[in-house]
Amino acid sequence: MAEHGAAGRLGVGLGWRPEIDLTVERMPGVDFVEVIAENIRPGALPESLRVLLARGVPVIPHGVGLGIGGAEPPDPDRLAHLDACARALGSPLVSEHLAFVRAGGMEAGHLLPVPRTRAALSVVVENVRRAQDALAVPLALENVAALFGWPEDEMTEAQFLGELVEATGVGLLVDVANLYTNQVNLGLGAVSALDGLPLSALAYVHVAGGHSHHGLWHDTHTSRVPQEVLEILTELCARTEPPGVLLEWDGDYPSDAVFEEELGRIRGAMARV
Amino acid sequence: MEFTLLVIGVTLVAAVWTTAVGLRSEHRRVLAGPPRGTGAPLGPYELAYLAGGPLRAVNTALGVLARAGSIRVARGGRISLVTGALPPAEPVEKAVLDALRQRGGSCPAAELRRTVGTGVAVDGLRYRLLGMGLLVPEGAFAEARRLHGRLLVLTVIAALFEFGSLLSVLSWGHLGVLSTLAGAVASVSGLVVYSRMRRALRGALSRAGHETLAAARGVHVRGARPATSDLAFAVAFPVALYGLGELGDPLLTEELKRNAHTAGGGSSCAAGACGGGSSSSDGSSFGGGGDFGSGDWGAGGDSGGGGDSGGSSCGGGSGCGSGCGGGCGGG
Amino acid sequence: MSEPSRERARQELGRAQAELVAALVAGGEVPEGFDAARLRVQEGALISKRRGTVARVRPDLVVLLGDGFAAHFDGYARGRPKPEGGSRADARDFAAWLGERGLLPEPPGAAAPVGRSGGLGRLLGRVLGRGSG
Repeated sequence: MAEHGAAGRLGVGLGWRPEIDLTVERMPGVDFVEVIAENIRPGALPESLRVLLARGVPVIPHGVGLGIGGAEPPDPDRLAHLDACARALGSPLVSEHLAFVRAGGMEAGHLLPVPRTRAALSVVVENVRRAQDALAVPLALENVAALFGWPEDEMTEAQFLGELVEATGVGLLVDVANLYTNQVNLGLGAVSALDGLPLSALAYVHVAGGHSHHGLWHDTHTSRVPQEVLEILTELCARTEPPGVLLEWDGDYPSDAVFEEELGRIRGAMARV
Repeated sequence: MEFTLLVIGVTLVAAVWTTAVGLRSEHRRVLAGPPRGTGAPLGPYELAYLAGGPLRAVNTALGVLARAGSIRVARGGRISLVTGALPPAEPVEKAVLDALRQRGGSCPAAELRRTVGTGVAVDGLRYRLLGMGLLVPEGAFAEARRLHGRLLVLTVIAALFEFGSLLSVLSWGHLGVLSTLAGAVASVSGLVVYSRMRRALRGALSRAGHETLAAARGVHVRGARPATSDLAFAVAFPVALYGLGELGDPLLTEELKRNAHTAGGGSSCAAGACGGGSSSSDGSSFGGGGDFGSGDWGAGGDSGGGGDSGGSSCGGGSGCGSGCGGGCGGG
Repeated sequence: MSEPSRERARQELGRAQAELVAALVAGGEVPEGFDAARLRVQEGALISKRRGTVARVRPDLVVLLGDGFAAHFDGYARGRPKPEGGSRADARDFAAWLGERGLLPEPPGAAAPVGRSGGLGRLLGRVLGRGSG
């Protein structure tokens, strides 16, 4: 897979958010960052991102609204925006989710799992190809967390992604917190999922914390990373050396010290192999 | 005729001078009001209020909380709560955190300055300082202001009189030079005292207040940067006495100040109405005395901060159940 | 896969996804075979997420409604998809919904954003009052 190789070595990163811009800028050991693509305008980048770019820190646009797993072909305007973000940021790649976010004229407001059938796969393969055609840099797709599965599922998510990578050469963004979420909520073993995923296409990895509520895991990105998630990261590192690992945090932001500790724990989990 | 003019001129001089002297002594009397109960040394927040009013007090709290890691400052001056921070002991700091909590955890620094600057914690500072006789109470200058108004009227009359006698000298060649001179003395001296006192009457510190502030500045010298991890000495006193420039973190200072000077984002602040108090004619009660830290008073614009795009989007995640708040907004 | 069969697949996928989204955000029936309890949890999670973004857009409503904010928002959002125009439109519609029920003390336009004009007015009044007093 030549495409995702373009990402090169990213290192350990932190999700850039406007609320924590100075924290991200000033934190030691942030090798790369990710920015929610829908929240920036390529023509008017936030000053903080310009500071990071000037320092040579890679910035990856991470889309949340494309819905590449939807029945409609991906919106050309959204693709053009992702492409413009990647160009403005000089990004090595763009990432999105294997999910759908709207249907029947309604926004779900969330990343919903795609039915894992042969028929749906054929649709998603075509969607991914269209997206790749519209983007100047490689695309990586992320496995999502789910609270429910489709009754007609024929494949595991790993198998589905494997076929998708095979057919399109798309890169893989493995979110180990989402693997953990699906293990807790749907009984899908995270380690066996790792064994099934096409890790040779791995572009980078997401790590995040969440909350347990009535026995279900909610991947809120608002708390420390649970040890179980770090153990999945260690398992992943035992199988392949990830080009990058990024911590996502989306609210209830803790002190700078906690961020540093969490990045340290991630490094520790990666080194435990 | 000439004699009459001269008598009027001399009378005007006498009236202006009497009023001016009365005004000055009334002003001195108010300032010298007896200091009461100044036993304990003042804390940084009382000193901040003396040095720069409510806004300096709030800026001191913002500086201490930011350096302590209890709040986070983002580019553009947006402030947000830091989860897991220890609750502060100082009422103004607590008021800042409460205001943030009420606004869902974050808001522009300008909004905090307005809210906390007019809130009970800062009012408490004012009452304490009034009680100690360090601030001049509201209404204390009423008599002085009355004399000030009278002085203005007399000054205008003297100026008109001088103008009139000057015309009569020029057109009729009368020897009304003396009365013209008297008019000039009355109007010029009236004007000088009037404008000086205009500034002085805006000062809110009593003489004891000025002395207390000067003493504190003697102890905490500007730019001394005490090598201590005690935030009271490293941050609170320097910011209180000299402003945000003494925060000890230039980038934070820049972002906190930027918000104070940039307008836009739906700010309801009219130009000059709430910016730099030192330039407003009668807006601020803290104008006089030369110890007024400008800048801190400029709670002016509101940069608007993140707005819709500031809401973070949850990446891969499942959303949060009704029990947990979560900040995910993606999709 | 051939072009016509992929078109059929798109249509079938679109129908299935639309049914699911309707069940999650528009009060639609749970499509056959799904775990209804899990879809209810997901529905609640989506409302919670919307509530969070509306709270950021209109903190004045959070202040105004206090502890009742969550319950009122849930009442507004359940069965009502997020309108076109994103969180701002959602916040606007929520404010209108509150207004219709007499839960807003003044028209939403005048109330937004509270604490700016109000606070400034108070500050100005205080400063001017002291200056002339």
